[in-house]
Amino acid sequence: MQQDDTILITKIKQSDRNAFKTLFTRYQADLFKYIYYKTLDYSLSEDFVQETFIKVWMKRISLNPDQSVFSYLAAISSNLIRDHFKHLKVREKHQESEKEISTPFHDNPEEVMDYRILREKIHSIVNKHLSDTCRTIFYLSRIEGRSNPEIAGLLKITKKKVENQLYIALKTIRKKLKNPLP
Amino acid sequence: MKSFYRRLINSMTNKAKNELSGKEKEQYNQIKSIWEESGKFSMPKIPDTEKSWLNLQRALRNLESTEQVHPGMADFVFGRRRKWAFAVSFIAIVLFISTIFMFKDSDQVIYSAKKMEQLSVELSDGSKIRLNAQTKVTVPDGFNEGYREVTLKGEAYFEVQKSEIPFIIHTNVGDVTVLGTKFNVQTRNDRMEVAVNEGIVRVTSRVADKDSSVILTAGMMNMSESGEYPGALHVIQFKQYPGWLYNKLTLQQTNLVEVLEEIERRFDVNIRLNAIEDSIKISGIFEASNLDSTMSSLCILIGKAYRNENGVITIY
Repeated sequence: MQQDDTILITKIKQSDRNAFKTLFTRYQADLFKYIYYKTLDYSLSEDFVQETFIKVWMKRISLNPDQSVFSYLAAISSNLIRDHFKHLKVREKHQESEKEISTPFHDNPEEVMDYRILREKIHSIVNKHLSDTCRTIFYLSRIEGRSNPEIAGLLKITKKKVENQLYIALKTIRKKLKNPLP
Repeated sequence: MKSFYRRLINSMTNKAKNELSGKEKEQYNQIKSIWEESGKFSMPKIPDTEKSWLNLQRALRNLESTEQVHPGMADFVFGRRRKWAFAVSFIAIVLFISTIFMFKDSDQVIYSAKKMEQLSVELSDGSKIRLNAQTKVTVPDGFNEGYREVTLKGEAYFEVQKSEIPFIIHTNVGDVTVLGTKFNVQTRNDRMEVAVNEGIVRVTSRVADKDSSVILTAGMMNMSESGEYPGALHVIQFKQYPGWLYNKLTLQQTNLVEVLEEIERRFDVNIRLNAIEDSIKISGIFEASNLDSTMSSLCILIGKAYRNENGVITIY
């Protein structure tokens, strides 16, 4: 029987390991893709998936069955990733932003665009300059190809908010492409 | 400006695009290329879910064994850790068994009953096994040549021929050993129920690397969970047991969710429960030869209604 997430979380709160396995099976792939999109590192992404689910299990008592599971997993993993990269050296960050400047966005549509570079730049802006919620919604829409109502259902938010966040994402990306300085 | 993004987000039509002025078109094209290019991303192959789950279990076990145990939580945490340990040792056993099969050119026979199906088989020693819906019984090559061992996943009724060679049923919870008798073995997730109609049966589970057994005689049943000691003995309350042999559902303080899962298996339907009714437990005998009468008596009992739409049943 396909149990919905609310029932699963209720069971996990009572330390039901089978329910936890069902939850893992249901979200492992989606979470992996979500994390990989941010880190671009395969084994690191595997680790973060594991760490995220460990956190869920350890904090199972305080889980809220009415909250969206995906946004909960997304929030935990985003925090883990942030903590991890905080420790990276400042120098690497500096190099990255230099790379950004060296390949500016062409304002003139007639000019030949290097789409590969554009894609990389968009990816970097999405991950650096969008809020977690905004990035999650943009990711689900563009990378997972989910429709706005689907995203609203998955994250338990309104369709209006999905549209607004996608608008903010596009606006931010366009602005940052024009003015690559952070 | 905002409307451009909006139109794009809601998949703008070509007609609307032609109405734009030159400057607007330029902006539109920029946004469009951002929108399109951002969706192009090559995702690597997703790591295997089952393997990742095993790794997660291992990590949790390590964590829990180093974790400081709060007073009052000791039993709870300990009990859980034993379960993880059991899961891993069980996998080791499975791997071991499958290696043996490989050496034997994997001549094992697998009998499997799908949903809505029941299957009767007779083994080379004359024992009979009746498989309930969604059940798999694996009989290794060389069965009855010095040993009689099978592996069960699901539920089956056994009529074992008397012999000096013990008949052993392996499940993911533990082993059931008999010399010759009639009994039912049901495994659901990590618990197992054994009920004996005739003869003597031994139920063994492995707890903290040691085997622990109970003996069941005719008319007795017990329930065991993986990694735990075999459960206490009870008297079988029903005349016709197991119910599935008689087209009945025999329930004894059974969780509603488990009852629904049985119905799903028996009639190959999907059942959706709208509210959380997790705590409801049901006892009694239900006629289960047809789906509608089963569902309606169940719904009367729990005070709900149901509707059936092409094999998807919603309880509300």
